[in-house]
Amino acid sequence: MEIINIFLIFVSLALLIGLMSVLYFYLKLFKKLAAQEKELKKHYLKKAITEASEIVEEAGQEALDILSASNSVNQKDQSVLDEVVKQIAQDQSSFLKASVDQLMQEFRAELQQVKNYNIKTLTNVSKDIESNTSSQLTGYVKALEEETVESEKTINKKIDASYKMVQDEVIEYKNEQLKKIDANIESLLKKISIEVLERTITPQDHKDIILKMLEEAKSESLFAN
Amino acid sequence: MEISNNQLKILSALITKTDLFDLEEKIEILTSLLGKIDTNYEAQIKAVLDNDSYDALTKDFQDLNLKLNSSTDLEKYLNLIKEKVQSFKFLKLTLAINASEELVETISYWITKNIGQMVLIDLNFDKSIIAGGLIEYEGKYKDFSIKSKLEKYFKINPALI
Repeated sequence: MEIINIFLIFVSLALLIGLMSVLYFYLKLFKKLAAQEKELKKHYLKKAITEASEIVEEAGQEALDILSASNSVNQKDQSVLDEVVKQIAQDQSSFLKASVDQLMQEFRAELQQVKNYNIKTLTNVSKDIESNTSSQLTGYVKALEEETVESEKTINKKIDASYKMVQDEVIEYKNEQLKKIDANIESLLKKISIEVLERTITPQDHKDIILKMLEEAKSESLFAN
Repeated sequence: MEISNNQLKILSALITKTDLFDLEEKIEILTSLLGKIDTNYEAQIKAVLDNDSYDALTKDFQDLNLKLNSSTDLEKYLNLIKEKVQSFKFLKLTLAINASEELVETISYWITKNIGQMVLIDLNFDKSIIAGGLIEYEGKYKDFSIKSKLEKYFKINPALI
């Protein structure tokens, strides 16, 4: 058992050492390749810069040639050009003036039209307002008149009803008072009559009245069997 | 023998209901004396009756051939009176004055003449009727007072008077 273990440990160590050797080899190779790549980049960059400087230089030279040619033309035709430019400016000025005048006229005309239109519109609006206001006012006055008439009728009816009620109450009160007065007068008359009769009827009068009463009773068959 | 009321003097003298009550009272007293009548009968009867009634009684005894000193005859007479008074009728009169004797006699005369002798006056007094009177006879009634005539005239409630 021990032998086997030792053997296995030995094998493991061997494998580990082999693996580390492989890793070292690869790392060394990688560093070498990276150095080569860096060198190549430097070379090609330097070459590209050189070529570019040459191109720019050539282009600048060509530009300088063109510019010198151009300056020679300008100096010769400067006066003509100035004249032309002046003429064009004058033409443009006249054209602009004419255009401005025309525009002003059109603007004025347009403005006048707008003004007229506005005046007409305002006049119409005013007329409409006047018409509407007048119509509404007429309607209002009519409604007010009708309302007033109705109110007057209603008030008159209420006044008539109240007047009639009061009149009825007055008549009723008057009748009641008249009845009371009549009753009082009758009562008074009766009292006076009784007083007078009691004082003025003599024993002979009593006797006569009693005998007359008996005759009356007899005539009314009060004593008939 | 049938005897009418007017044949009995003691009854024909009656005028009012009060007179009748007085007579009935005296008849009761005389009835209580029956059996006690002695030789002094005249004084005993006179002590009960007034002079007019006594005179009427003595005449009735003569007319009826009765003896005053006989208790039996006296009893017969009293029974006859008691029987006859049952047939009286009453005329109730309510007057505004206390009727004088003369007025009562006048009324009685009128009653005897117009209604009959067997009607007595039942007198009542009510000053408020002013004059005239109220008559009630045999269940019939009528107001002949001046008060009722005034009320009819004024057509008002009597309570206002």
